[in-house]
Amino acid sequence: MATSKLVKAILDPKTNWFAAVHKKTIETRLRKYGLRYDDLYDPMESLDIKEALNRLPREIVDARNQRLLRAMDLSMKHEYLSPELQAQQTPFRSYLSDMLALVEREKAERQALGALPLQQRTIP
Amino acid sequence: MHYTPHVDLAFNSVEQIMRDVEGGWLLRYMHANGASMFLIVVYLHLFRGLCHASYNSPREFIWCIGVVILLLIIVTAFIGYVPPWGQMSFWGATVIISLASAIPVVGDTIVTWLWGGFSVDYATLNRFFSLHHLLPFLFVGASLLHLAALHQYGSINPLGYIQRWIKLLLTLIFYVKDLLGWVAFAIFSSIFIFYAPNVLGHPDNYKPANPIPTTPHIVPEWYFLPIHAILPSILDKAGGVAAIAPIFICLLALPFFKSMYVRNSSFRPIHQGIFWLLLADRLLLGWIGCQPVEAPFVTIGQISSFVFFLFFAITPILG
Repeated sequence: MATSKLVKAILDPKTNWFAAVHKKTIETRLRKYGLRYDDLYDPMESLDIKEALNRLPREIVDARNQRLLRAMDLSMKHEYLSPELQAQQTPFRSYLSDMLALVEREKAERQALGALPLQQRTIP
Repeated sequence: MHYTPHVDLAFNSVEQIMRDVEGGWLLRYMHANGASMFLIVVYLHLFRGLCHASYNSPREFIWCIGVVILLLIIVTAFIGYVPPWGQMSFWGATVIISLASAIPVVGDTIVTWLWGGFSVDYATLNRFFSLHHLLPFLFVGASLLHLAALHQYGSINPLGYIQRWIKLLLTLIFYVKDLLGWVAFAIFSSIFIFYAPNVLGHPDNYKPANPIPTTPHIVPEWYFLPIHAILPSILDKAGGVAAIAPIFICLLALPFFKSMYVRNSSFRPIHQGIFWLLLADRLLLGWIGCQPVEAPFVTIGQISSFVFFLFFAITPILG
């Protein structure tokens, strides 16, 4: 839609200084824990994320879990990665976003066709 | 039992507990300051939840039960302030319960029903004493439900991510970690109980309740001050009363706002900044709550109240 394109254009870090500072802040925090942005997506929060993770190759999911384990260990000990390791991190290298977008498109298509969703959350 | 829930005897029975009953002073101070300590912990817990977005899916039920517990605690604390039957007990109950008269049509009936008469009197004292004893059992039950709901999905962590296949032992690690916290908090609490037992209270409550002279400055206990500050922010009485309900409605509705996939404010700097602004705003509201209702406090209170509700308006946009 034109509105969302306009919003994306306004919030693009390449054109908006505030967005660039915001991205840099998140990048610094992700590097400290050795995480990627896609690692923060929680499969318990959304079944779409769980489905997207299930479709990814095993090596990618294993690498993700190892990064998360390392980050949680650092967090518990109130430590950060060493500066040398921080320099090697790639916080915004995406591996999940495309698959997640595909899962969401499929879900929207199923909904538009009147079909039931593939997964439904139990309440509570 | 030494306390007597009768209008002619209540105040003196508390004084008798303080002076004549063995260890009575300690029990009384522990109870009074314990309420403040309890609410300090509750507020820390609540704001921790707001900071880490613990209310997000799939923990909506835990959060909603928590808000219900908060409401029960607030009601228990409010009605528990009446039994000492001091001036502030009497006039606080009179003012706050009479706010219900702002409800159209049935307001006055509700006020009379709550008071058990046409003013705060024997019936009010008796029922408030009974309810103050009963309600804690309700929120213990709600707390057990809160814990049961927590164990369905597990605790969050500062990174905002849950791993089911790696967990830390409660008994080994968290017991020792929490023990340090308990000891530190016990020392903090003991400082108030033994060295400054009345600093969190109001000196007017050491005067026996008297329906004729109104206390010049009626203020609730410190833990109600932020809510109390929102009341006069809206100049219309009914509007001020109506502004209290949205506080809890916003809290209850938080989990159901649209949220980003990234939960934790550690990796959401804007949300983190707004959270600290909310905390500062709450502290400012607390200060405003104990000030007289006049300029410039009313204006500051209005701005602070607006900022408070702005947090809940902005959160769905920021995600």
